[in-house]
Amino acid sequence: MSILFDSGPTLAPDEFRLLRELINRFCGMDFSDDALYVFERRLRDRVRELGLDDFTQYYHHLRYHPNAKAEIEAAVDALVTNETYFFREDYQLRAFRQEILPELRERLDKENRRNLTIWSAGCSTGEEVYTLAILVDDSGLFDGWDVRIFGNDISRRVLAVARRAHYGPSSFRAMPRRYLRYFADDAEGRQVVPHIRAMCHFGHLNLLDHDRSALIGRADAVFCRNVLIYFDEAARRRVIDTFYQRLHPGGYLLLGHSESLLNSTTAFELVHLSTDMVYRRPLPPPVMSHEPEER
Amino acid sequence: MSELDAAIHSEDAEARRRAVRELARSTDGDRTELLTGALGDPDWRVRKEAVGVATEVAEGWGLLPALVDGLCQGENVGLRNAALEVFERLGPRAANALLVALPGVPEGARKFLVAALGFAGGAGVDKLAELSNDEDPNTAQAALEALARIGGPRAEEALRGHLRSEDPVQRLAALEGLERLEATVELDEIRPLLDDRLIRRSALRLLGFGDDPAVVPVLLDALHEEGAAAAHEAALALGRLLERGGPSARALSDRAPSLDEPTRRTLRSLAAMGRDGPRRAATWVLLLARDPRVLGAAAELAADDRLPPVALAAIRRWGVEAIEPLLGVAGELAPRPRAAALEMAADLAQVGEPPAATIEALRAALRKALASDEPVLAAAAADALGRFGEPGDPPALVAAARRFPDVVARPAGRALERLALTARDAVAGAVTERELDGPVGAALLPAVAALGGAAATDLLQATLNADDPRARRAAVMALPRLGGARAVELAGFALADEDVDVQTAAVMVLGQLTDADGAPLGVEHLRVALRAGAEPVVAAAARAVGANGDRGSLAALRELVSEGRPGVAVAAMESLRMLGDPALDELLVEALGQSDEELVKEALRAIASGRETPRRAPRIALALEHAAWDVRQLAATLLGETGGPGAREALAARLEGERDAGVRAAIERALAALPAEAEG
Repeated sequence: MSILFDSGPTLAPDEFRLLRELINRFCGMDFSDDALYVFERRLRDRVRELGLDDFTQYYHHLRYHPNAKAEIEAAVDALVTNETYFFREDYQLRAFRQEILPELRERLDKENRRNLTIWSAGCSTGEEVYTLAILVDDSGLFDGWDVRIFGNDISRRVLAVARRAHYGPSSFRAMPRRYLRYFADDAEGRQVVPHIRAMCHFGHLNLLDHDRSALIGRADAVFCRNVLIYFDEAARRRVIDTFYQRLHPGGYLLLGHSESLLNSTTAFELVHLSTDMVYRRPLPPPVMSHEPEER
Repeated sequence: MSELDAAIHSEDAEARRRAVRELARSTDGDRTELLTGALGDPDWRVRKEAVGVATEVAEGWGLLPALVDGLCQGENVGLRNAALEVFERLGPRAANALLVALPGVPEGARKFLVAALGFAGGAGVDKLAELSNDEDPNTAQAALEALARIGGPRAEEALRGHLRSEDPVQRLAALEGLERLEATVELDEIRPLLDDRLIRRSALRLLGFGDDPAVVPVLLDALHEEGAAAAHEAALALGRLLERGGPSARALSDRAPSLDEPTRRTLRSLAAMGRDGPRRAATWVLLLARDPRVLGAAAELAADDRLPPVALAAIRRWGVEAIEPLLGVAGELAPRPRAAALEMAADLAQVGEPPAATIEALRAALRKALASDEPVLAAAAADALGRFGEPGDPPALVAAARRFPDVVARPAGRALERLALTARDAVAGAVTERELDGPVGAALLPAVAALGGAAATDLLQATLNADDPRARRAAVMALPRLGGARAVELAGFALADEDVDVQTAAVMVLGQLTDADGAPLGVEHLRVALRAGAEPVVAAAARAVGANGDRGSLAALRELVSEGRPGVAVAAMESLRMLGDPALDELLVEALGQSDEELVKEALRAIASGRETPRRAPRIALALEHAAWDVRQLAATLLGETGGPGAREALAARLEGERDAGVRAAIERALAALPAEAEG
């Protein structure tokens, strides 16, 4: 691979548009016109790997091959920068730890529930999932509860990394040292300790697949940070609709710092926390009397 | 009340949405009213469905006046937006209805109709130019925005006329419109606007489309202004000049090496962080200035493919002198940018002639990176060590491949394949010791094949029976190195493999194998593969027999075109075209009617490359009405190349209603390219 010199097949504008549209139909990701160069550079290896001569043949592969779905996933994996790290956007995590978790604990107590489910949508290599598990554990608010943190991604490769739970130095660039107790050093780097791993589950899920998202069950909070930026408006609406359906009433939706639901939906309500603004699925209004619904 | 009527008034939004979909096929007398009602439904999903249906039936049902009413009413915003979306989709087809309705529209609602005219193409430009001077500022503003959407010389001229407007909002709208159109406006026209604080930022942005080299010093000066906003806009405009090329870009390239330190300092701070556009532009200018302190930012942007190839050219021109600064900065960067810095250093070392000490420094950095815990770094190092490695490196490459099979194995395999030419024994020692299987085996196998000799051949043959299909496939792909009848025999065995990808690889290899005189050796096997079950195998075989010139497969290929598997049919048609099949013409008419776009496109190519007949142009022209943009675009391109009776008329007619920018451009190119005899 060369950054400075062309090597391998070149991607014509028409081929780029066909590939871009095909990927958009598959997973809702929306790439701008200037992503041609990104497609060319990052998909060349896929073309070579499959023994194909050019991008038109690659497009045909994605259209007609029996394993086309797996190859589209590989293409998306190559196109999207999956880089993440523990305790990313810590101001939001502080709000989650200090305000959302206590509120959830109080409300779930009232509902006589002793289970907490958090969904990390587009979890990449798993750092966010383990970060959330660490925060829940560290809070002490849910000791003895059934806590599940579910992470999904469209890339099988990143899910394999997430399940291994082994991380190199760059994953720890923003993590406060006091959380190092949740990791064990070994020859390959650092691995998340077993009791945190036991809280975490990973699954292969296309966020546009509304039906399969039912596998997750109902969540008390959804983290979807720096994922919706890749989607077009229609796909964003569908995904947010899915989040709404999958959240318990009163459940929280946390987006990345540059993302908002402006122009997408009004179903969520905005909640102002001390260090962040988050979204919440409204609670049903309290029942005041037993009037008949229809007169 | 009809069933449909009841459903469209249901409490359940999903039921209403489904009812709207059914409405398109309805013959109910009140269907227009129902559809208009649905366009104003409280649920956006229902409105969206209604927009689709309304676009489809607008003209047939005489819906346009109702849409104008929906656009101009003031009670239901959802209805207004839905009506506007329908007009957007209708494009020029709605132009006349909008222009006719305009005089009767209440003053407060005119701006909405004017906005809709912005989607109606060139027919509305003159009226919009007139309305841009309307007494109602909202209407005038909407007209300027609509002109910016339509574009073209007349719209540009109208917008330019408002740069001198007394109303700052109009000046701003005109500037933004011209920016949207990427219009080149003379510096003298923009200069007075630069003194206006309200619109200065927009004016600076527009300078990015200037051809006049005199814009360069203006933008460089603006970098020094207080506050980040002007500097951001100036940097963006400088970046735009460079992207567009031309005299002002050349002036900036010439000026860059002599930039003073304060300017460099500002650009460095823009390059270090912040918004992507100014960051990229500042980095680019500093690369032209050969400022070593920008290489970290350049590596960060390059790691995410955020520096365009033309900007990377500045590093190429910098040459070997940039290698050591890149190595110096690499150690301070996060893994991915560090990998990019090493890759760029290796690229420069490969094409230049760096001193021996620089090469040694590069090797040391690459070896350190290969041993790192970061797979992305090890992968970059592995790739570069293929070019700069020495006999001591193969064991470390194999170890890194085994440590990170997903990310490092392939670049390490490629590196070992290259090193097999210069350090054969070292590579042999590293790769032939163990059994090859799994992703690592697949990645290392080409290196084994490159070694040649009896041991490598034995290992290659053994890998044809590996557990992992990826390794078996790699072994098959390496068979051409073995060559001859033995390779044909082994590839034939692989055709019976249970994995489709291994079978497909076998077909590809059989298509490549020839005897000493260049005669294909795999013809009989390929004919068998044409009757295989799996689509990719048959498609690959169809292509291979065509490439081998095997006319004995013509009958089988014809059958494949008609049997209903689009991927196979496309491949078979490609080969029939290459083989010059005289019976192809009969198949093409049927293929043109297929729903699969790739099949239709291949049929069009075959028609265009066939003999010239009076039916050729009309057949291609039929595809100008196809639903898929790529089919219409290809049809336009082919008509431009082949011409023929009616080609110009068909293209011109399509251009009237075509809304896809890519197809429009193809039609315009085709019209310009049509030979004179095609006219009339």
